[in-house]
Amino acid sequence: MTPEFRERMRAALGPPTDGHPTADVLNAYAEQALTAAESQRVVQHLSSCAECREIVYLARESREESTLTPVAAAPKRAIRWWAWAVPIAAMAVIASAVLLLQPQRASQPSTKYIAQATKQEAPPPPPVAAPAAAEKAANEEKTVPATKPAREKHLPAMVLSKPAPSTGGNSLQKDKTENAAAEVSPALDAVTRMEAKNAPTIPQPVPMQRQDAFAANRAAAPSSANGVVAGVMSAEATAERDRVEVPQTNSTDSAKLSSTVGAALPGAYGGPVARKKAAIAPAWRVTLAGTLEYWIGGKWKAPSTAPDAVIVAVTNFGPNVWAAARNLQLYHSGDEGRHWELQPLPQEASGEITALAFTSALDGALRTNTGQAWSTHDGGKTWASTNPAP
Amino acid sequence: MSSAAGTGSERAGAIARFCAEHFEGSHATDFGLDLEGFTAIVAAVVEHCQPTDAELEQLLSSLRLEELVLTRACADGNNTAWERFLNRYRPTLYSAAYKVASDEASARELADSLYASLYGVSEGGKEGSSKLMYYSGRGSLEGWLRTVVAQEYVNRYRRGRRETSLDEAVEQGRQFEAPAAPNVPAADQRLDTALASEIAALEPEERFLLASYFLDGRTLAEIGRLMRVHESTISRKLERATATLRKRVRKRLIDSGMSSRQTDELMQEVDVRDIQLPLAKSLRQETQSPTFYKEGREPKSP
Repeated sequence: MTPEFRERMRAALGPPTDGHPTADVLNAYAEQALTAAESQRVVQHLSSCAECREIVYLARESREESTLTPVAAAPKRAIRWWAWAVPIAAMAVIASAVLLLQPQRASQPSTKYIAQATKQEAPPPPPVAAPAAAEKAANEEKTVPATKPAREKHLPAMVLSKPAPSTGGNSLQKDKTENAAAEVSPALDAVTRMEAKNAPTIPQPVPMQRQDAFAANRAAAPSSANGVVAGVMSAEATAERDRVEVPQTNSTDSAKLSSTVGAALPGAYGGPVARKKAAIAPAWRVTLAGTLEYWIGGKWKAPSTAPDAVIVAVTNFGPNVWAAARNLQLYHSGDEGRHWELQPLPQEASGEITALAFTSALDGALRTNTGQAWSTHDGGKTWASTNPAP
Repeated sequence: MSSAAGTGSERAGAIARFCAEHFEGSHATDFGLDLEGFTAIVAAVVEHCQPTDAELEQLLSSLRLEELVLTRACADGNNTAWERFLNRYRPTLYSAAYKVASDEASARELADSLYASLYGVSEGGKEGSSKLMYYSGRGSLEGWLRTVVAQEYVNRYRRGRRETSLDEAVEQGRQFEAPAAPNVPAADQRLDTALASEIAALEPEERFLLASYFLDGRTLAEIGRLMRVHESTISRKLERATATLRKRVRKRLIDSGMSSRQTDELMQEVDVRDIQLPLAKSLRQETQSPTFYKEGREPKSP
């Protein structure tokens, strides 16, 4: 390819003679919210501007899979039914002829064929799940360490949600977590995995006051070379801001806590019946907007009544649902979210709830972003600290 | 474009009527905005977009008023609005950054800096106008945020690329293209000229499709998702565009004095679709850096 040709092509396909469209215009184009004339101008620009093309494609492809607009299927051609009439008729004639020529064979299959057919069609005996065998299987499963929920590739760093380091340590130490992971029930583990997949993993901050932003900014080192990033959100400033932000739901924390509950509350799983009941109960999740949804009829649906608060975590066991909201509020519903009651937490509790898990209708645990861990054995009515004494 | 001066009052009346009708649904009162303030916001958007009289109604009806009001209240420093915005859209901002950026650290940096600019903290830490003021209500706020993230990422990359010196590029082992051969066959030149002219004469959408597919290496599915049509539709359009291009190039070559036989031989020797391949490669070397494109993805024939 000659350089002259390249130059001509570059002239033909760009660079654009006009300025770049704003993000607002590009987004409106992608969402087909522009008038025909505006849209034409944008396409004209896009055809010659690789950078703007990159922007619109990046923006489009950065959408969550669940929010992707289903593309319209290509219009189907009208089915010409008569085109199939001739081959179908021919096949029918041939089939009739075959049946007529071999009436004996068709109507009286030999006993050998019948035996073979019966043998092939007989379904395998259904596995009988004896309680003892089930318990044994459950015990065997308990010995297998449950895998931690796989973290998605692009999940944000959980720096915002990490609890503050506790000088005295707490019950969520690494060794206990690993032990708990070994004992977590498969049903709970499945629920945890689902929560880890569905729950919003982005921390939700309390809006930062403008003065706070500038205070953090002043604290940042001005000599950093990263321009606005370094000037405004240096590591120190980010850490400072992180301390005032309130995380919403942290799937990693939830997974760890679910495991920890298994360790802290031995024998709390309520037996196979309770586990089965918990497994068939609808799953709950927190939306990105901080509201509740539950899975019913093949889709997520908002409950008819919900706590009037920004929910940060939710868990359920059977019809019992516990929803943690901001400002250390814990709501409980005993009837699958139809009615809610506020369950008070101890005065000593501080921070914001980052993880919440129940392993039976009575036994549960929660953790706050200040490193506190609390457990309950009466369905959340009273809570006891599980942090070791300093 | 904009209406004549005589219709200014009619336009203002139409805006006022529209605002009175939709004021309640916009939830402007949640942020302490009255009807007058709400009307001023909508009027500013109309003034910015400069629709014709015929387009005014379409523009007004397409506005996402609730999100528009939210952004303006945020830009005004309303704490309730900020809380609502953060609850709803901060996850969008960060998830978009993590999808766009190549690694976690740069994604975090990208999202943090955008968060600051949305908050109204300009470069250098000075208080400025919030970037949210640039949202016009056309299209969703979520989509706008994603586009802003993508734009910032591309701009940032471009800025970083400018700062890379020639020595660094050489040290990194970047290969530079050798100068072209001085003698170019006349027939090839005519083909090149014809091809360039005919590409320029294509419809903008066809050129956009060709550029997306052959130059950017986008898949049919990606293009289809952007244009909200099925990928098979994109495939058909691409085939049609390349066929049209080949036909027109052939005609232009014949018009320029080449015989049909010569033209066919030349076209057979270098098919239009084949031409795209070295063209894409050369353009990628010269004008685009590999980060914009996925390595190893050669353009394909539809």
